Amino acid sequence: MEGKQKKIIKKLVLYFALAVLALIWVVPMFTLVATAMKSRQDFMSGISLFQFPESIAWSNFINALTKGRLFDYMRNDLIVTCLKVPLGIFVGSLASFALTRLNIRYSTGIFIFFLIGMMLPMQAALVPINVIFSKLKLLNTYFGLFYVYVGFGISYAILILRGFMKGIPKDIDEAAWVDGCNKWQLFWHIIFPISKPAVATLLITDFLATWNEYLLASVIINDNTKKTVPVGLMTFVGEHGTDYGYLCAGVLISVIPVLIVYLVFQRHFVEGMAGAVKS
Amino acid sequence: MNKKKKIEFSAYAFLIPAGIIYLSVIIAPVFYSLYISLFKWNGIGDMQFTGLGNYVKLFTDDKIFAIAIKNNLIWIALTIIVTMSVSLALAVLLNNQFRGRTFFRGFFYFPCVIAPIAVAIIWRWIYNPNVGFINQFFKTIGIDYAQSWISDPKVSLFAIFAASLWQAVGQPMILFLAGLQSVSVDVLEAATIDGAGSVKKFLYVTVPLMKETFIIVIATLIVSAMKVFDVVQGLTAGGPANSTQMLSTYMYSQTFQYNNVGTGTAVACVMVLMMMLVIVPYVSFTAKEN
Amino acid sequence: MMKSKKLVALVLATAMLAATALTGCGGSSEKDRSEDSANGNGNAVELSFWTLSTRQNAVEPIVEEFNSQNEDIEITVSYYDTDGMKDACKVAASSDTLPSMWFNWGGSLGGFYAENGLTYDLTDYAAENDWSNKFSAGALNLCTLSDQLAGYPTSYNVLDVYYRQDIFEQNGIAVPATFEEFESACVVLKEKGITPISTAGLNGWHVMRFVELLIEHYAGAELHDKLNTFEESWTNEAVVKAFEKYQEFCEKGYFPEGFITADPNDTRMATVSGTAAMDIQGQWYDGQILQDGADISQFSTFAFPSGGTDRLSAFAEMVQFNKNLSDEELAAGMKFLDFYYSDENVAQYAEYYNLPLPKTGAAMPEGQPNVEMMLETSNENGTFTITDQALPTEVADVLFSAQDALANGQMTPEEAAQSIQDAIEAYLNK
Repeated sequence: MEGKQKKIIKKLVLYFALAVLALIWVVPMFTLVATAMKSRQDFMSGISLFQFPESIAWSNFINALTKGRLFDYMRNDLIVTCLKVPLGIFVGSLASFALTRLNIRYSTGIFIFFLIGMMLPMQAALVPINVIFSKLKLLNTYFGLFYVYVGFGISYAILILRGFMKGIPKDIDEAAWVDGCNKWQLFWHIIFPISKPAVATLLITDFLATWNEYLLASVIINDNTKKTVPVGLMTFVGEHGTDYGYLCAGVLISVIPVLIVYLVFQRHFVEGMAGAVKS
Repeated sequence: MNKKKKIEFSAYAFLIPAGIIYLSVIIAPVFYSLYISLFKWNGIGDMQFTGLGNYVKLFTDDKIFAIAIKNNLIWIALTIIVTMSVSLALAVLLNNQFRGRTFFRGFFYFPCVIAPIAVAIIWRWIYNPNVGFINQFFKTIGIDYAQSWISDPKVSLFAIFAASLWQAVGQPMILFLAGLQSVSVDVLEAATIDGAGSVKKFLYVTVPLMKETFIIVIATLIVSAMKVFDVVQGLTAGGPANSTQMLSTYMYSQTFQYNNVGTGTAVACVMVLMMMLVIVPYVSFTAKEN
Repeated sequence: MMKSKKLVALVLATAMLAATALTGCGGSSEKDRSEDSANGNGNAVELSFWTLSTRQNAVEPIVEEFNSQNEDIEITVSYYDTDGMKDACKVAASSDTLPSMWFNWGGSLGGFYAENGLTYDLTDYAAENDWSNKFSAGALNLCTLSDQLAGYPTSYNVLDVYYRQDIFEQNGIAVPATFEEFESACVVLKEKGITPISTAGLNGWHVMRFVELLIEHYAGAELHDKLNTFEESWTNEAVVKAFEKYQEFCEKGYFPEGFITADPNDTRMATVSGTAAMDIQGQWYDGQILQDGADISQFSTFAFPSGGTDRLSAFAEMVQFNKNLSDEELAAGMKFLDFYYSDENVAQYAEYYNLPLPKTGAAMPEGQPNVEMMLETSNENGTFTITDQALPTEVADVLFSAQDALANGQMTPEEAAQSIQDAIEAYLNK
């Protein structure tokens, strides 16, 4: 009886805390949605920024997709992101596997060396990358963009995957060696599958980071038909004034793929670990 | 285990793909930056070698650079204290089993997927002293307090931080959520049987088990705090009167606006060095423990 | 052991294959295009053109039409947002990948490329092709940078005080003819609870539009020009007085609350909704008001009564040409720009141009009554180059941060003037 009461109180506290945080969180979100629904006239008419308009300006959403070419930008971004994320994770997990489970000299040193890429401000990389890429004719190619993304993403991938793989009990390796596994088999059939929660985390964060990257994309891609979402969204910003409804509608549409990826993969946090404990 | 201690070269093969891509993308910019930072250069014309001149000037005779360093350090402290606590708290809350969990997980993650440009626009409206949400809210509930949040140099940095917090919590929250899964229920139950209270259980059982998660979160938070750019550039562009200038915004101005490419690149190098000063000892210390 | 090595090798080989395949397919469209035009049409002139993305909806069909009309010329366009444009040009300049032609602003922004010998000097071309009759003198003048004609003038903009006629009338305010009258108009407006001047300080340049008028008022035309060319020190009494007055205006609340970090794109929100009465803007403001669905007849303009001839500030925009262009390429580029800025295209895509064109006898945009008036005023009163184009960016930024500091009371006018002079000296000794 007492336990049940305690449980109810716990639930109440939980919901209360969530409600308070959600209230704070919702104000900017609400503003974004309300603005996306306003026509330019509504926006300027002096009604509060934090209020829905009387009629929803669906034209903002339609214009964003058609006139604003958001659909094309999203397709391009999807191509780059879907190439980058799996390859980045694969390459990163190979390296993390070596750093945590194989005998490698200076593994901490190598790990730290791999972290530098995360620290380097991308602005500093623009000119050298532009010089090299223009020589190699890689400007305006998806490959060029995706290759640089993989390079810049390796640090983060290794940071996350190494952290997880370190925590996997060494007994598993022992058992695998005894069973006659080689390194590749150990990696591909055992360690990589166990790392599912870390891979899911990385997939979510990496997808987002790649999807929203502006700076490198703006320098490497200037062919209009190949632009990605963040660069494309900037074309919604006017020279002498921005149509905010249109911009916010574009922003709302552009986040859909990221949210889907997130909601699908966050489930795997739990499942993956259950598997690890069993084996 | 011990007989496998000898170095195996095939182990290094696993490092090769990452190594090749990483070296080809990162190394050129790193060396280029180190090299350029030793010169006086407008980005186009002749380069004039100045040795460490750019660095000396930054550290001895540049008020804005000093402000930027101070602001970045404040930002790092705020990030570690506030962002980490809030995201950890959210992760713990959302790790409970309850109705609508998936919704709330999506809800609190949502701000972090929004393009930075929109974040700046929305928060500028929220902070607007006349029509902004906060001041209007105070007015509605009868509190006579108006503040020009981001244009007051005393509170500006903190106001920007609050705006960025809204967006910055999502990422560490996910890392913590994933990390919490590595704490097996059995261990927690054992702790409960031993009579540990919830808070104690969390501090002495959960936190130590999430050590690797903390390393990851702290390292990424420090890097992102050091590199913070979009939200500052969007909300104040370093103003009012340089009071919210960050190393990244200052680097940007020097490189792309003032054509002092050498100075700007030196700022970038200082940023990397500062990050390494914090992260390298931290990571190598925690790596040695095992 | 062997097996694992083989596997790794296999993985690596596949990865590399995939990589090369991708390079092939990713780069193919571009390669194909250049090969096509090189092989298929031996002497096609290929030109790349960078411009602002806000003009995309006009430039795209125009380029398509031009390319199909001229089989020997192939124009490819890239679009950038305002800041992206500035950064992309800097990166391209540093890595020697500038396009054949690119949009640019006048003054210190475009001047940087002329100064460093990256732009084609059009002086001779202009003389041969009678540009002095083709373009307005003001525009040509503003496109002359570092003693070169640095670009093809595409717009000539003048700034004036836009005001709400209805608000002025309701409060019995006449258009001010002297600075004193301007001040008393502000007093009346403020008493009625209307913010006199809508401005926004993020990035500095919008507030600067008012500050430069104050400097013009206290310094007069001659001294003001000398300040901008660094012939006179900014610690000058006139500058200090201008800063004093600006600080006084800030204290009296003549600008919106918290304006120093407000976005300049938002100044219209106050004037359109009527919470503010004036805004210093260029002639493009008419088009903006129309797009907002506001009533254009409520808006009129007057020249700020700074004294003397009440000069307006002005700036130009242009298309710059790469210095490496051959005569043939230059001619092709000019042909394209003449087509782009032809009367037919301007008529068809009016909203994507900064009208009127800087040409002699250019048509005025319809339904925008203030445009013609402002240009007439600028011809009568004369102009000065807008401050952020007259000063190098690093000096202008010090002025901007001085504006913030004055508004927040962190600096005295003397200190502000001194800080700008220090920045000028640092710039000159660079």
